[in-house]
Amino acid sequence: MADRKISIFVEEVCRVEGHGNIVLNATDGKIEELRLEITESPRLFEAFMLGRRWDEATHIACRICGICSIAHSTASVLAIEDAFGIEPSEQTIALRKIAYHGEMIQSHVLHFYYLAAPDFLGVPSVIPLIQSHPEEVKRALRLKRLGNDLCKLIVGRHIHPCAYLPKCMPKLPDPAAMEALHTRCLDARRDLDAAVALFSTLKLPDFDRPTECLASWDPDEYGMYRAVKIKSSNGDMTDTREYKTKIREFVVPHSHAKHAETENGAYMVGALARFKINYDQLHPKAKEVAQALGLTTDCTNPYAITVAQVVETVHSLEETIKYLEWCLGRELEWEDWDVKPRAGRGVGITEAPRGLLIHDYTFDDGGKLTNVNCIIPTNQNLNNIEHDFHALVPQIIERPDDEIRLLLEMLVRAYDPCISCATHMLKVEIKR
Amino acid sequence: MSNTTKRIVVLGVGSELHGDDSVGVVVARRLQGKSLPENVEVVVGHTGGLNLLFDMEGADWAIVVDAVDFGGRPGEICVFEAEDADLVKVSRVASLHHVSLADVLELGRETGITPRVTVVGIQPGQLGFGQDLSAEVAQRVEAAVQAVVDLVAGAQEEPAAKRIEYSEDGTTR
Repeated sequence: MADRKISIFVEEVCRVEGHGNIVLNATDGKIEELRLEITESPRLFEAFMLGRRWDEATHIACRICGICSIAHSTASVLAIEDAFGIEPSEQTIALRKIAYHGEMIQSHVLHFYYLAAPDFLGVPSVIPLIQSHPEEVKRALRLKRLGNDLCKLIVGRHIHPCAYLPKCMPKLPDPAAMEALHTRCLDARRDLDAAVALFSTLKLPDFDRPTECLASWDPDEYGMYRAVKIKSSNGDMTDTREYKTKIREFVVPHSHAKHAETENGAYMVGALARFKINYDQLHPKAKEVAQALGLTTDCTNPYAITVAQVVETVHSLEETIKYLEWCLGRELEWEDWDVKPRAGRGVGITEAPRGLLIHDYTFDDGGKLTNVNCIIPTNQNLNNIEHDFHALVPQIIERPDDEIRLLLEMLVRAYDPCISCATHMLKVEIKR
Repeated sequence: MSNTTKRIVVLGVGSELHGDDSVGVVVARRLQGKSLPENVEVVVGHTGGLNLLFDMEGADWAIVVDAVDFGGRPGEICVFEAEDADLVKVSRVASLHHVSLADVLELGRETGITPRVTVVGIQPGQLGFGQDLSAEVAQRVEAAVQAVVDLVAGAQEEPAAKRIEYSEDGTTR
């Protein structure tokens, strides 16, 4: 197209957490500027955790995010336990996993129903869906509330847990409340069946770009709650304490959030990365759903992250049912919560809904933090998103501005970025 | 259902980092320190967004206390039925941290999740960063607390609350 100038600036991409802009300037099909600017202010959590006691660390760290505060709490307690040589009991891990999967359910439901689905259904937000898809909206709210209530049952609140500590749980759930939630989880299977039916009708934008994926790996289960190692889609394994040999963070001028790369360049974390790497350990019901939705481990379309979230929600619901039944099948016991701090380093790696989450702490003799490093999933995905941009835009550059804008926004949203966590944001600016 | 078993939720919302926006939270905390009928639950909702729906779900009546710009003078209190009000909505859901109370109330009403909602609105003076209430709003906190107590007391006697407006001196009109 002769003399066509494209100038797109999406200021504060909506339906993501935090503030970011998309900038695209192109003339005659040649890209001059294309980037994802992260403009949200840095939040400096790592700095203000320094000097704080071990028993304050988790309560501060969970405030990094209001969506995935249990994932941050999980990474935090795993890091503390690694540093102090603590092995929590089977009961403690079972209880934690109920809250952990509860958060996974509520976060994924939030994303695929409230944030992503409106794009596919051609509306600007979830609000118009009340009229056009009332049953879907009610179903989404029921599932989200279930996730919230699971968290509340175990850790006292649906976000920013009060009762999530290293070594043991300071609160034991009421068996009657567990029984009631177990029934609701069984009922939720029907809601998820309906969600799967809806998502099977939605068509993803056509785009593929192979990239390295990283996810938590555990020999005993689908890598989520705790990474025994970090696994790459190319088969490489990295010890958790050696994550810096695999992941390098760096700063770029247009982002308040750091970017990250491996020796192979940009990489992806999150639901699709986990699905590709840990598929064999996925719950059979989730595998059935993946098949119904046409999701396979050779998928290289980042828009399919949303589909992988639907699949994982089924997995997390089944895991929740399993652990609730485990807890209901015995008398839960109060455990010794005496923690003896010691000097040293500990690394806790879990999967936040958006991907690999690393907390790396060093303590002094008195159990005070002397060094903190947190690597957030969205930081890791930003570099990959920009690589996707550069692969995608030449394929769509002849399309109208509005379509280019929407496809770029949808791509960013597919990663379910939590810019608040990462800095933490998002706007789209296109100049032709 | 008798009035005494009617479940009432009082929900105080707002950000404690944005000046007078915190007034709903301040009022709810005061109410938590008061002796209220057993069927009344006071919830501090902060900026719960969508999650505020679940605080109201299952109740027979929700009383929401929040800073509301109704064009009054700072500290002025207006009690109204959410259904009757033309609430200004933010229909572009920028993020889940920014789901407005108006959107939450619409979502709740349209899906049938929320019960009848009465809003105790306090006109804010300033909404900039800061944890303190403005003097005008601070001196009206007790009046807002009393407005909720009156609503709840009214519910023990009759099922439907009247529309009550509070003028600046705290008298009803």
